[in-house]
Amino acid sequence: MTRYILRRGLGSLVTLFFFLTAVFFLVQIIVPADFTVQFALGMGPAQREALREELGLNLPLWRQYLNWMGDFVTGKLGTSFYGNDVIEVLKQTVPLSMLLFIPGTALAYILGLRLGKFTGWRPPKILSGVTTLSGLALFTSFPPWLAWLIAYIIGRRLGTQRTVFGNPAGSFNRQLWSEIDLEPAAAASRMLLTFAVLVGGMALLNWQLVRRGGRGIPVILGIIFVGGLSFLIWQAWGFGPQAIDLVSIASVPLLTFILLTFGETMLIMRTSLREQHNQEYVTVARAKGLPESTVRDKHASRNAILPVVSRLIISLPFLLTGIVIIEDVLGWPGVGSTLFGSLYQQDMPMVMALFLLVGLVTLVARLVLEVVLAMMDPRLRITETQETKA
Amino acid sequence: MADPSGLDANEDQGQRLAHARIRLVLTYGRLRGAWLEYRKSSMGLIGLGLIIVFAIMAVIHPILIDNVWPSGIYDPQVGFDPNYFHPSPPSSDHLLGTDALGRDVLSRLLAATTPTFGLGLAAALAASTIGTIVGAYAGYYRGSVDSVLSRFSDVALLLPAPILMVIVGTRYRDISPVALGLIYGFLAGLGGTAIMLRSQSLKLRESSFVEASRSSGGGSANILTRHVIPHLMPLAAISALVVVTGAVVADGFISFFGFTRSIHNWGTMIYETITYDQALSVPEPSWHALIPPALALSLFALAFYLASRGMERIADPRSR
Repeated sequence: MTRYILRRGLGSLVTLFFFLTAVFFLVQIIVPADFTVQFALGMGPAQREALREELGLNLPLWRQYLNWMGDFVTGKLGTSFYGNDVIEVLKQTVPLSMLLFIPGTALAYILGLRLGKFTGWRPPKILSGVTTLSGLALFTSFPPWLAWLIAYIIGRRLGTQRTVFGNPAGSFNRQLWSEIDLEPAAAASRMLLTFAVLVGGMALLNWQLVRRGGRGIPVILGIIFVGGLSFLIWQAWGFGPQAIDLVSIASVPLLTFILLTFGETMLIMRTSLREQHNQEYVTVARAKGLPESTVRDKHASRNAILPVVSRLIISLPFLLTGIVIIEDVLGWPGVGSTLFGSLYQQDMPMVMALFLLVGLVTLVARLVLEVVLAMMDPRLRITETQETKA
Repeated sequence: MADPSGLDANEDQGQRLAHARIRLVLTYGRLRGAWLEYRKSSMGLIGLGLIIVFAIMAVIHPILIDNVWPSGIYDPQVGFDPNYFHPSPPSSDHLLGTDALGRDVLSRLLAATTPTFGLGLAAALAASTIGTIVGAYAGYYRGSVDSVLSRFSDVALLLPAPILMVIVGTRYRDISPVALGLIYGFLAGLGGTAIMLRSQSLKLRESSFVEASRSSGGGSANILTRHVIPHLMPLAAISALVVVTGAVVADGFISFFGFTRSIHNWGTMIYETITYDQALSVPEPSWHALIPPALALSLFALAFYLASRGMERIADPRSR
């Protein structure tokens, strides 16, 4: 298992290198490095040359590439063309994006699995048909439009005083945040940490319970429990009201993301579970007299879930793209809004850093998922080792 | 029988004709079988129906402009109806109303269908071609060819194609939908499609019919073109249909954010309506100009996704 993880990790590093090279040259081909002209209209030619020299834009392309790669390896991401430290900007935005991405993906996944189980196991009825169709429709709906519509419904119809245009998700309550010495981004990373610890604890508890032969904790109960407990922890940590402000604003993009994402998981789970219907082990489980729910949850679902996880590995970049688009439409101050802002301003160090981030997050998430998949499906580990031996 | 060589030629021709006829019958039988299988999938049928509706929309627009609609009023780009105060809600003259500049919404909706088809088809063709070639070679030859090609696929999979297309759109504002489709299709084909087809090609490589062909002296190139690639075709078609969905939505992003100048585009219609509403600070959004393009975009994407589900029945005998 350790060898498997190491092999995969090394492979990811190589992929990351190629990815960065590809991104560098693609961005340079599409947007050539004469962009100082774009925003330095008031400068004389001499000043402009000096600026180009300062930014290292007068060097040949391969030197720029080596400089950038070298900076990246030594952990420097440089400053953006507007004088902000790129790492500072990332610190301000990444936790806020992760606050959408991680819980959003997890919740969408749980919802998709549940609905997939529901629609895939029973024979097709009106209810399962309606669920399937609405999941499909949400999955293929146009993301910015859906985001805008949800913001409109929540903003206008439920009466909260938020503008529909421009910044539909609303912005942070400045007065509330000035009371404490904490940035929203820092609060978001603390919230993520709380989630991680609590969910990890729950998983451990669940594992122990199942091992002792008891029933596991129901997922819905677990979510409620984690939510309530984490709020208490935030209150004790000293940013309770601010956390509520953050969550209430995050709810619109989060809801949009979940609605857009769960459909795919649901459809794959449905197809995959249908294939298990006629398998012999299912017949055996039924013949033993097991209740139908046990056959479904303990026997069929466990085999059906494998293609769902491997599909998730492929769709990760698309999920991240979804987050980027939703953030920009709803004005959530995360990575996505920054990326589009930098694109407008042709701020290349910033754009490159954000691409790097997207690649890095995808690779890490993929590695985690691959390990999870290998833990769930022993066949994968065996074929891997055989391949290395052969 | 005076000239034996002429007889030979005749016989040859007759034989060739007979062969062609047999091949035709076989192809017809195979297509018929595929259609009978496709027909059983209700999702596939809905998708096919939607695609036909969109095709009718694409065909009908030039006919309407030439024969029914006065082009000064209904032109999708510069039309203006002086009898109405714009934006106007749906009426008998303008079935879906007009937008803030006085252009007929229905006319614009129909005009956007053809470019969208062009984009989708370009993306599908590019993705299936690249995906089949890379996937078949990587899976069949394994070894160093595989590791190089798979690395390319991994990188292409990591690249967020819609965001790259947005960058392309900021730089080349007048880029044609077909070119955008080709770029998207290339990235998607090298990434997802190639990875999926590679694993299928790995399986085919070990199958008994490939082994039989190899033992009877078939070369690699022959096996690849005659046995492996034909068996990859249904899967390639499925992922090409899914790529159409992605390409259309990604194109919608670019125009939704106002990065391109493509006029006949559903994303542009949504973008412009929201922008005009914002500028005029109307109390309620102009739903009549917002919902049709949004619905058209979603349904177009949905149609091709559903069609891919129907294709799955043909490609994967297990699901029957």
